[in-house]
Amino acid sequence: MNTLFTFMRYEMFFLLASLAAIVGYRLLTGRINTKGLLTDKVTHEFSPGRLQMLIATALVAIYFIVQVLETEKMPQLPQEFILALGGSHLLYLGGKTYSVLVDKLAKIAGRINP
Amino acid sequence: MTRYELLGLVIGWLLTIIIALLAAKIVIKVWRDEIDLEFLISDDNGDASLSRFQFLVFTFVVAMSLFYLIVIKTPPDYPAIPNQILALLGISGGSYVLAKGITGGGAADTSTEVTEKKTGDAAEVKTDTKT
Repeated sequence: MNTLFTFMRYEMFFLLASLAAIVGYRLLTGRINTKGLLTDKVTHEFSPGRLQMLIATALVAIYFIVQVLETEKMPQLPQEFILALGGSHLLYLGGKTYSVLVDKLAKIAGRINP
Repeated sequence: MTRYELLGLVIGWLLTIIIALLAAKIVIKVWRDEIDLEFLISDDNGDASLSRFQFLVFTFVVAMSLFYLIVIKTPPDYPAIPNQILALLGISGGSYVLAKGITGGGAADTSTEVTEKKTGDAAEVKTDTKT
């Protein structure tokens, strides 16, 4: 039974580590498309809302990993973290909705006054 | 070892080998670009999507943490998952769906425009043919 457990451990480690390594390497070398990650899809300009969400994502991910390594159990994320992440998403989605609405209104205005 | 324990061991080995073969095949295909990852975090327009990227990051972080927590225990044990983790993934997934809905609305508008343009062109062609 112990041999089976050891084999399973190596198998899962191999799968996760190799997939993470391939995805990470390709993200860094540009073989996975990251064009427009921080630009607004409608205005095609740099979006601060996207930048703050990227930073929030990185912070939560780092906090999560550190907590797992320290406590050796799934971390109880503070309520403030969840609220901050939710707020970050709201800001991002609000900005996205705003730019889509502005674009639509501009198109409608263009149709009325060509 | 009883008969049932032996059966459990055989089934365990069979499943492990099948999963190992599948995992190896997937990794090899990804490595050889037979499974194309170029647009892994891109949306329908080909631009990189932040919500997809976040989903990818959280998936890897949670999967690796789970793996770590399972293997450090002897015998291996599945850890309890707090509600906050589910909320974290839920926020990420929900935001992805909402973002897709918002952009989809914009895309629908664009496609309507394209259809209108196409219809307009067709009408022009018909007029030209008549004249």
